[in-house]
Formats: sequence, structure tokens, C-alpha cells
Amino acid sequence: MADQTKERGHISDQDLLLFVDAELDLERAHNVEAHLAKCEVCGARLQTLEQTLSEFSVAYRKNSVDSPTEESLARVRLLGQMAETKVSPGGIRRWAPSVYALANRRWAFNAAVIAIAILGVALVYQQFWLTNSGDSIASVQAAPLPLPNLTPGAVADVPGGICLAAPREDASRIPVAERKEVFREYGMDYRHAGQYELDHLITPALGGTDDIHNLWPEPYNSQWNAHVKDQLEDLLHQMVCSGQIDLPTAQRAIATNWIEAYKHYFNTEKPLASYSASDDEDDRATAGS
Amino acid sequence: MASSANENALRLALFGRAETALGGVDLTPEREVIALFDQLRTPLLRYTASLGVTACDGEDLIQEVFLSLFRHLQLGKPRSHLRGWLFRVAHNLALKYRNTRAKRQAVTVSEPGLAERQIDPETNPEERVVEDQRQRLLMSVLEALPEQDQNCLRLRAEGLRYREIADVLGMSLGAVSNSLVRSLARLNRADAR
Repeated sequence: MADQTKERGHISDQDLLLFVDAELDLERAHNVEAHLAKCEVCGARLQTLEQTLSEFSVAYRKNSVDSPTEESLARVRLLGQMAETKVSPGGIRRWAPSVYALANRRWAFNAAVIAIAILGVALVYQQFWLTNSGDSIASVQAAPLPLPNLTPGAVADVPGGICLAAPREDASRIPVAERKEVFREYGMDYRHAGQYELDHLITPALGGTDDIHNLWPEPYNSQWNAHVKDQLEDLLHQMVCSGQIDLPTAQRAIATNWIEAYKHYFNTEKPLASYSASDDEDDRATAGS
Repeated sequence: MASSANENALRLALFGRAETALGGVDLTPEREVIALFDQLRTPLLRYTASLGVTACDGEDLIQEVFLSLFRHLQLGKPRSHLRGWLFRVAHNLALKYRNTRAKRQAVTVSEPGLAERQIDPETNPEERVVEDQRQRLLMSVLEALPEQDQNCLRLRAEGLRYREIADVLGMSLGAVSNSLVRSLARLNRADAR
């Protein structure tokens, strides 16, 4: 190991972890990046840390909890309770566990009748949802975030690197059959495709591919829409090419939850420009400023 | 179009909320809650089980967590970091549950830290044994760690960012990375043996 690196000092494990999670300020991140480029010891340590974490995660996630309730039933129960919370007079009432504990029996009886009625309506509603969409997954269709099981993101090496080649995001090159397939797996009618952008979760400019696992219908009329996501993509591309973050970090950030990534990298709670199609006028006013 | 109009009418009847002009594609609090529920029910059940909540009570607890999320969204409170928010509420409810139960039972029965492991019948038995031994080893190292360190590691394994973990457990970012570095060193040593 070069004496030079020793003199400058190695990066602590703590800083390596924070660096990977993009929690270091820009200057420190720069230093870590520069050091890692030269120091094999720290590079190897970082690799060990990440590998141990990922092995542990795999092992840990194998632990399942044997719940007596099926997920679909639990979901219906939750829908029913939300409906009850909403329609109750005076807005928000005390909720389920407190309902069980009600001392007043007549009250409890009334609450139970209402709950059952609402659960019935919720079931019909759920049924409707399912028949409309053909698939239970579609109960969360058309959200600004894709479903991780359908659209986890897909990447490939870009010849020449993303900074030189700067691949463009061009959904029009995606064959119609594949576009239709994306809408179908999200349980949506392709005739409404005009209200959505068929968007890449990981943009080609960050190494994302046209694979179906990297595509989802992103609604335009949402506060967090495709135009807002484009800003994040531009920023991440710049940050990667100026060496502020590495490509896997950018890919992970945008694939995990691009809205959170936007908030983090732009340090804001709301979309910065007036692209947002929020129905809240106040929101728009603040966002535009 | 007719079906989406129907759906809207039903939703209006149910939730009393009109959709935006384009019809049925905006994110209602209900949808947001259900989307997060589908995504995080299992991780949250696993986390509360690790804090000593039985699967049965865990299910009730998770319902409570998502109902408070629903109220949170209805009141127009901040929508950022909802994943961390959910884990924090689950964490606090689990601790409350643990305290009341400890009080009710004169003797505290030690809770198995982790629920049953899923067995994949597809893998070949020998591979499974080797794989399982390694994973059991990692889990036994986990269970020997101080509780705070365990929680940090578990939350990271569920994919939370360090910032979110700090928020859930009421620690500083530095304390989270210290804790993880400690735990990773232990895991690594066990692995090397």
C-alpha cells in the first residue's frame, strides 16, 4: 500500500457506509471518491461491508411471519376500516382496536353493524376494482411510483459510458406490442394511454434499458409526474458525470423510490417547477416559486 | 370510459371525494395507503415479530399502523419519508404492546426473536442444509447483538436508508453508522469462521 494513502489516512467504515447511502456532504463525498479511486484497501473494505450487508439481508428476509390472516383479507379489512373512519360523523373517529374495547355494548353493536355494512360495500368496491382491471395488482394502478414487482428497473452497460454516449430516452422506439403489454400487466386500458407517459424507471441516460421490467405507465395528472421525474434524471446524470455520485448509487436511488430521491437530491418537499398537476392551487403556487 | 365513470360514482358514494377531471387516476389517500400496505405489510410484520409481537397481534398492530397513516394523509400531513414513518409508528406501537403485556404477565416469558423460517421445497436438500446453516449462523449472530444494534440491522435489511433508521429509532445518523459497522464486523467474523 502506498505511503501516500497512509499519510492522508484511510476512510472510516462509518464514512464508507454513509458515502454509499449518499449521506456525506459534497466535499467529503468527493474526498471519499478520490481516495477510493486510489486505495485498494478501502475499496476492498467497502466491498466486504456491502457484501456482508447484502448477505445478511437475504438471510433475514427469508424469515416469514406466519400470520393467521391472508394478505387479501387483511387488505379488505383495512379498506373497510378506512371507509368507516371516513364516513363517521364528525370526521375522524377512534379506530378499530379502540372499537373492540368499547365498554358501551349498544355502541359496540351499532359500530359492528356499521362496520359490517361498510365491509360489504368495500367488498363490492374491491370486486369492481378487480373486474375492471382483471388483476388484483391493479388496485394500485396509475401511481407516480411503479409497482416494484412489475417494474423493478433494468440496466445494462452502455458502450462508451453514459457520459460520452448520453443515451436518449425515447419511448417511441418501444414496439407497440410491448407498450400494450405494460398497460396490460398494470391492468389498464391501452385506449387511455394518452393520459400517461410510458416511462423508463431508470432512464437510459443512467443505463436503464427498454426492458419491460423498466417501464411503467406514469400518470401526467399527478403532482409527481413524468416531467418532474425528468428533472431528477437530468440532475443525477450530471452528478454521475461530474463524479459526485457513482452510477449504481444513482440507479438505485431512482429505482427504489424516485420521489424520495428527488426530495433528497433537490433538498425539497415539493416538485421545484410548475410542471406539477396538483389539484391543490396552493401547492402549485408554492411549487412554482 | 363507462366503467371508469362507474368506478368514480362508487368511489364518490364510498369516500365522498370527487376525482380530478381526467378521471380516476389521481392518488387518493386510500390508494396510497393500500399501495404501501401491499409493499410493506410483510416487512412490518417481520419487524414487529422481532420486537416480540405475536403474528396474531402483529396483524392487528399493522392495521392500526396503516389506519393512522390514513388519518395522517387525510389531515394533509407531510407525505415525505412515509416508509420510515410507518416503521416508526410500528416500532412505537410494538414497544407499547410489549410494555403493557409485560405488566399484565407477572413473569415475562422470553419471546423467540424470529418467526419460523420459510423453507423453499424447490431447492435440493444438501444445498438447503449448507445455505441454511450459514443463514442460521448469521441469524444467531444477530440475536446475540444488543437490541439497538439488532434493530438497526433489521431495518437496513428491509431496505431503509440510514436517515430513516435514525428517525425510526430516535438515533443520530452517526450512531446508526457506528452501530452497523459494529454489527457488520461481528457478522463478518462469524462468516469467516
